[in-house]
Amino acid sequence: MNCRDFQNLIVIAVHGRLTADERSELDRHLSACQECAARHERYAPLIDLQAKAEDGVADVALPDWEKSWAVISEKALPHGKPRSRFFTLVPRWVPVAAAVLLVFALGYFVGRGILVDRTTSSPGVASAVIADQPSPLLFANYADSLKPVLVNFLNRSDVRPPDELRALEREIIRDILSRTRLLRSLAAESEDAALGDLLIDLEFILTSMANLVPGDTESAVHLERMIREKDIAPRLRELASTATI
Amino acid sequence: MPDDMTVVLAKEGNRDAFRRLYEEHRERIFRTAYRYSGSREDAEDIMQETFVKAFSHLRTFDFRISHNFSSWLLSICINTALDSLRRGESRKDGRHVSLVDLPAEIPAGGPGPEETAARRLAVDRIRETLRILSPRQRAMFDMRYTEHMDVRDIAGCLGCSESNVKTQLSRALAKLRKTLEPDWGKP
Repeated sequence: MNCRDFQNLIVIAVHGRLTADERSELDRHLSACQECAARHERYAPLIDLQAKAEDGVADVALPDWEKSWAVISEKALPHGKPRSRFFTLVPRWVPVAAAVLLVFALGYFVGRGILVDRTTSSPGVASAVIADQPSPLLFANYADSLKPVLVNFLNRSDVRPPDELRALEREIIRDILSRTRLLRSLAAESEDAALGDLLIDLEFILTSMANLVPGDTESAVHLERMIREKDIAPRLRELASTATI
Repeated sequence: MPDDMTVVLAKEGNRDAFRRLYEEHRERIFRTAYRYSGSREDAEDIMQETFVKAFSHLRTFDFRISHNFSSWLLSICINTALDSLRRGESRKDGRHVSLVDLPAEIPAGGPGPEETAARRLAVDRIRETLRILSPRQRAMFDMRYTEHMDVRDIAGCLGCSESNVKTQLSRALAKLRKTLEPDWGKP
């Protein structure tokens, strides 16, 4: 400690209370430092006053403790049954947070259940994907939708259909094509190689069908041959009953 | 039974535990309150208010933040006493007092009525000097230099860092030093 620290002790002695250790340290310093001793001398009356005021604190008559307790217990103490140890140790916000979390979880699972129900009542790849779980009926439904398209293509006639009908056919093919792509990603996740290969072939065939220019007989024949050579129909039939998705 | 266990029981609503805490700390709290108010009746009111506040908010007492119940209770008492003083002082004018010339004014005589009155006035002036501190500095000063609380406990009770307590105490001491000698500390 330097002189400045001891001067602070003088300030504390005027305005507060020194501990016994601080008092003896200060006394030791004052006997060795004239400047600090002079300062202390100057403020000794104030320090003395503070000490006497402290004596007054020690001598004050104590109040009626029971009367005070009656006031305190009336105003502050719980009147009902004491809280259990568990609720005392757990902060009050915890049950509230747990309740909010429970409501959120219930909402989430109920909502999810509704979505899954909708998927089964209205089969479709998109809604099934929303349900976020591959349905065992998924590929079978897809195969059911695809069959008429393929049959229609294989049994096409040379008579050119009306424009509206061709537009509708193209729309259906595009829809099935998008479902094929979704299924491919699901098949990749489920690591079903046979299904993956079939879907790659189907994606190529459907893309070609969607882009087939009316009157391009050569490409149509080539596509027809491809459908037959790649055994699309039997593979489709087989996987419809065994596919993992 | 240690304070910590009694506090846990009181938190559970055990009336005996509340009573035990009251009996353990009432005298120290009363004397601290008296040190501020200088009046036995006011000190009793401050003590009751301190316990009512502490028991009503006991669930907010956290052993991890305020290290012991005694310090926490004392900090409530000091703040309650300072609030009480401020309410009383708000009716007075705001000029602050210097102690520069006071030592010469204090009568050195015996315990006659005039001397007693003069001494009482001097003590009041010393107390009034503390008004130059901000309420927070005053609370920190009293906790540290009158009640001898650890800096760590003060920080826990007032919800601030230990370095903040040290800085505020240093500033408080500098201000009070000037009430004794305006030139003190200047080169």
